[in-house]
Amino acid sequence: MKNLRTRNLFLISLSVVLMFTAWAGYCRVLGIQTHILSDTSTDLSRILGRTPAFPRPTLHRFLSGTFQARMENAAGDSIPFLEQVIPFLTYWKTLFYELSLEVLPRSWSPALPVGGKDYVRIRGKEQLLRTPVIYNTEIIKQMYKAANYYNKIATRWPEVRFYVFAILAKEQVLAETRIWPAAPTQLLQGHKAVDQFKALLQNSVAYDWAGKGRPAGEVLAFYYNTDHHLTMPGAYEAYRQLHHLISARGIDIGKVVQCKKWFVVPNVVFRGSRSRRSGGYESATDKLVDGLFALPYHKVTIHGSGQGQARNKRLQYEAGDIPSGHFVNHYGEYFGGDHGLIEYVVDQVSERRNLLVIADSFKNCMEPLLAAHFSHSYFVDLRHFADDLGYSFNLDAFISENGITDVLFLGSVTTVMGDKTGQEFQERAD
Amino acid sequence: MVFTSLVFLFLFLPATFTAYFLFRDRAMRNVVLLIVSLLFYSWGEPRYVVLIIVSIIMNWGIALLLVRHTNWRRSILTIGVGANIVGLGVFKYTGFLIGSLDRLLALNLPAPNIFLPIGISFYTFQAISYLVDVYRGHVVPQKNPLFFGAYLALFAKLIAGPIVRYRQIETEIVSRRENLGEFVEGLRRFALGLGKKVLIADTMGSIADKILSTGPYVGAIPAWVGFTAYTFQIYFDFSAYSDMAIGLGRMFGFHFLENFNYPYVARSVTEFWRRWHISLSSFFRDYIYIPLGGNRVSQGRWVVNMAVVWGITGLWHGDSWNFVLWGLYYGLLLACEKLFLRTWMEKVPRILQHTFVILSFVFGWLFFRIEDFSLIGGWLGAMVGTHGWGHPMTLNALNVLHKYLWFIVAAVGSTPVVSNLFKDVRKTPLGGLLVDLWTGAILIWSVLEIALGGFSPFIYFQF
Repeated sequence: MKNLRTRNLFLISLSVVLMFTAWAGYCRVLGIQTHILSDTSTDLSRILGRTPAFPRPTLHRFLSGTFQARMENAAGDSIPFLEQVIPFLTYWKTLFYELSLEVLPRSWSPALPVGGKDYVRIRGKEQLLRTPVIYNTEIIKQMYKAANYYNKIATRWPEVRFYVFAILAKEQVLAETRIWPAAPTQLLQGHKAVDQFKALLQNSVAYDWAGKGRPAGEVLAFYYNTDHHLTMPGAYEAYRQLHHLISARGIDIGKVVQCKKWFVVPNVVFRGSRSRRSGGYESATDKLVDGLFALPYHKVTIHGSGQGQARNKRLQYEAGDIPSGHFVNHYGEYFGGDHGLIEYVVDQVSERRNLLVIADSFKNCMEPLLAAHFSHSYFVDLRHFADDLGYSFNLDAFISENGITDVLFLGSVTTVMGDKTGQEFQERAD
Repeated sequence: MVFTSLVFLFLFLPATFTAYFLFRDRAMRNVVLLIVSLLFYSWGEPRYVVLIIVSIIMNWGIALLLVRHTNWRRSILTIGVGANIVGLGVFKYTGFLIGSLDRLLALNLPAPNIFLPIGISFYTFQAISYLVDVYRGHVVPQKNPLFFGAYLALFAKLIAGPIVRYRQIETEIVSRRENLGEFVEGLRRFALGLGKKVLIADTMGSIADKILSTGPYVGAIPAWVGFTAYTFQIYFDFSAYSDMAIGLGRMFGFHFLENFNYPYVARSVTEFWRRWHISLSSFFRDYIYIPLGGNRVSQGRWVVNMAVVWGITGLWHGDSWNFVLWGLYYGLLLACEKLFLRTWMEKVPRILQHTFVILSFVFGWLFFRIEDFSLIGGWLGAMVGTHGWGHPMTLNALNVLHKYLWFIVAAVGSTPVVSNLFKDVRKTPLGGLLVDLWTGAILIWSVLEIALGGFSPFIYFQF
């Protein structure tokens, strides 16, 4: 009997503690100081984007249902242990899921590639892959927001030319072309979504995506086998598409830079990002291929904290000074890593125009090619800009201060169509 | 308001307990229950609280008339039951009728702007059972409208059942005993239900949603995984609500009958329906099937009875033809079982009996889930491999593969294994403490998941 009472008290105490915790949270929202529980000292309104507060009860609000909706929101905002719990719970859940996946054949698991024999054989060739992004309703909503942003800035700057250029992940190309094993038709919406984006943009914003209209086999050759970036030949094809996109707007940017020859950078065995993330996939490798381009003389400056660094290490590699290490990021080392702001100055141009490229690491290998057509080219990577330069990027100020005539948004589909980077743009535009 | 919302758990429930236990008087406690139940109902759709108040007054009055005017009993019952059915029909089936007529005759009719009041199917059926039971003399009508209101609107079972008949709690409405032991038993049951809903049903739901929202173009493996997940989701979702309702009822001194009895361990479809949504199937049995003659009629009439009962069962679940198809599918299976299938199945090993019945559930839930008739064929095709087997990587691409262990949890949880184990373990003091610690952990985990997650209503709210 005593045990029964103890057990009963345990459950009741637990319920009371939970309720007390919740009440303490509510008090916090109401502005009543509660020192009993640890406070996260985080500004809730900053995180939530709204002021957490209980609504004032009025009959009208109650009948219309707004009181109830706000109460639900306020209650959701009021749990004081929420923020501390998120990483804890997420960590254990992730660990549990990861461990449970260990039991399954590696080739099934989501963190592909994940081990020694984990590859997908596509058309007789080993491919290291990750799962393609599925274009669900949420992503399509983001696309609408991103398109709205591009339209808005294009309207604000009618004298500036705007271009958006998306690069699909290799898996998206595979899914789109039905090569991805057992891909359901829905995964092919990537294609539709990417194409639909064009319809969302106003005419003044030119848009294209890498490999569009090309046979799938050719487009697959744009990518490394073990890395998520475009190879140099792939980047060159993307650059040619971009050249066409810009020229088609009636702008004379000169002829396409010709490649005199392609060559394999000697003594480099490249195991790219997918190999690194796989936890040690070794059998698949890549060759680092580069081209000998007829580039005009150009001066490169890395601004901010990267000042003084060499943009690329082609000469260093040529001299045989090649970074050692099994999983060296040769893409980043050879073509140059990510920096907040890189400036190219070229004197020999057909028309004096200034280009601003807002992009992710996909731009790194094609920078000199794009810069060859503009007197000043600025390559901004928003992920690093504030850290490298010490202040936040402001598109309007940058355009007006640097006399920008052309703006190119370039990068992976998720970047240019509304992930965090796109969101940052939108916030600034609003 | 849903049981799995923070407002319910941490505002509504504590406030209700405080108000309820503040009074010692039974009448006042019933009044508190009525008021909080109306508040609970009005949380989601304040306008429709009028409907339930009208239903309370109307059914209370009609029941009294039934015993006062014995010569007119049959007419009064017809009017009472008719009024309830008309109310249900107007609010639940107007859109369905107009839509069906429109499709059939191409009349281009405007869609009516009527929203389904939550729980109308449940409280209407409770009201009908009350009137019929009064008519049959099984219960004495409740003279106090507030007491009757507390029964009909009791928030614990108001919006998703179980369908509690008045006679089941007739005594407890006027005299029940609340005590610590009962309260904690109720709390345990509630915590168990919360865990079933938040941890298992929602996980299964996320898997089912991701796969089934892709459309019927996946291979056989993903299609089966999707419908198996939905099979588990609907059981854990609905039985969790019943657990929570029974637990809440117990905290207030009510003892509702069980609504589920491990239906997925059934070895026949007939047995399944004895274990699944017991309060609904017994309602249909007692108030429709038996009055129609049950199985003591000619075979032709019996087939008609079955079609009527199962057609209505399907339609009760939703205003869409796929629900009718689902009901008729079960009607057909039950008829086949009665006529020949049962005899055949008894000759095969038990494992095959289970396999057959489980397959029948999965296909049954396909009709239930897929509302668009044009997609039903596609999904059936996908399940038999018209798009190939499919690679497990597709599950990976849909971000559901890593949750596969939940299927084991759900499969085990669908059997009485854990329950029996807990019963044995609880016999010892240490075992009892461990079970309570486990319950406490489930409660905390569920609350955290609710705090971290979004709103996830119960499937049966829509009925």
